[in-house]
Amino acid sequence: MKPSDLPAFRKILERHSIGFVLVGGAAIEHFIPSSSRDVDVLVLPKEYKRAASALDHDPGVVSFSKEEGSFASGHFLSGGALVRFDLLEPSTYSGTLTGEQFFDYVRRYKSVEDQGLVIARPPVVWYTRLVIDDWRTYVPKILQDLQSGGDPRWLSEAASIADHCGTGSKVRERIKGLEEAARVLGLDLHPARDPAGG
Amino acid sequence: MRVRSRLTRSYSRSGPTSRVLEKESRPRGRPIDQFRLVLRLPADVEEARALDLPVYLLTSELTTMLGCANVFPPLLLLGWSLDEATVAPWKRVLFLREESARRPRLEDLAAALLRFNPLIARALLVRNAERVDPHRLLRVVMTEGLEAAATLVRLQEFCPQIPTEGEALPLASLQKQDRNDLVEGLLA
Repeated sequence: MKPSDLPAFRKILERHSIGFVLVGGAAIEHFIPSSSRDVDVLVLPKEYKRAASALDHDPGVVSFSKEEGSFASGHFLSGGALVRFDLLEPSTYSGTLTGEQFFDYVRRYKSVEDQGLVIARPPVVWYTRLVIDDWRTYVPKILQDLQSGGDPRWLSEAASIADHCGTGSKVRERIKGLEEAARVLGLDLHPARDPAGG
Repeated sequence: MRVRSRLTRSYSRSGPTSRVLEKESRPRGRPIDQFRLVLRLPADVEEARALDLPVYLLTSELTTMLGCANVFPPLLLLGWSLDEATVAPWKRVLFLREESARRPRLEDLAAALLRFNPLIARALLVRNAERVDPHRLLRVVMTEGLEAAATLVRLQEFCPQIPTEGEALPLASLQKQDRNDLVEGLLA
């Protein structure tokens, strides 16, 4: 996936008036060097069915599959290449909030806008990676993000997002696990402050 | 002759002992209380670590976080001097250099796995190749006498100074294995 693939997918979503927030590695890539294989977007729960159906019939989408529950994926064409996308249902990550509340919170307070794209900030992406059941499989990605220049303070912000969603204790415990993995790798997540105040 | 070790309390420490330290009956003529380290749960290991003892529970949950999808039973990393004094249900890996069990780094975990399953040890290093410290790897392999296991899975790729000892597995088989058991998720 290249950043230049995003406008093509945005056009497809806009064609059907589908509101979305870009998450996953493609969102991280907006802030620090990263490599993402696909485009992950959060879609409003009440629009999810309609979005899935619209994408299934869109000529720009070359493959589409929807599993039971909250996961649909497919491929679109961008510059002659196939790019994978995933439609994600916010309630997967919303904890005690509704999916709508979580989507609104992320879009209003935890995202940036650039060239018509609403892009979740890295703490949101890390939160979504840490709150799900198979969170450990995403720790290597977060560690990679940290090695690529990700700010360790984003972990604290991810914990604050978790608090807002009522998943704080679970996510904070998982952050401890991540910190242990970082220690093993010799990554310093708590660099000493520059005495000059930098 | 054999070495028999027990934990004792330094004179400067007072107050209650940790619940993971069980007092043994005091032998005649021995003025100092002796303790055994009793570890039944992962939380007990954490409590022992808080006492700065060279003990660490290596789990496949941790190696998953380090990019390896292999599943294996927990391994208790122990400084050699604690072996006799410790009661624990897990398979043990003893370290001559106790710091390797007290604050294990990637290379120490790989050394522990070399004694258990060399292929997982290699996978751990392959997944984190950019973070491998060749000097640290050389030191732990040589200190712990793991040259043969390291050669078997060609850890000389990470540190050419590791002495070659015995046979190595075919490179093609190892490279095929390197591509397996890779941790991948949806939100990549």
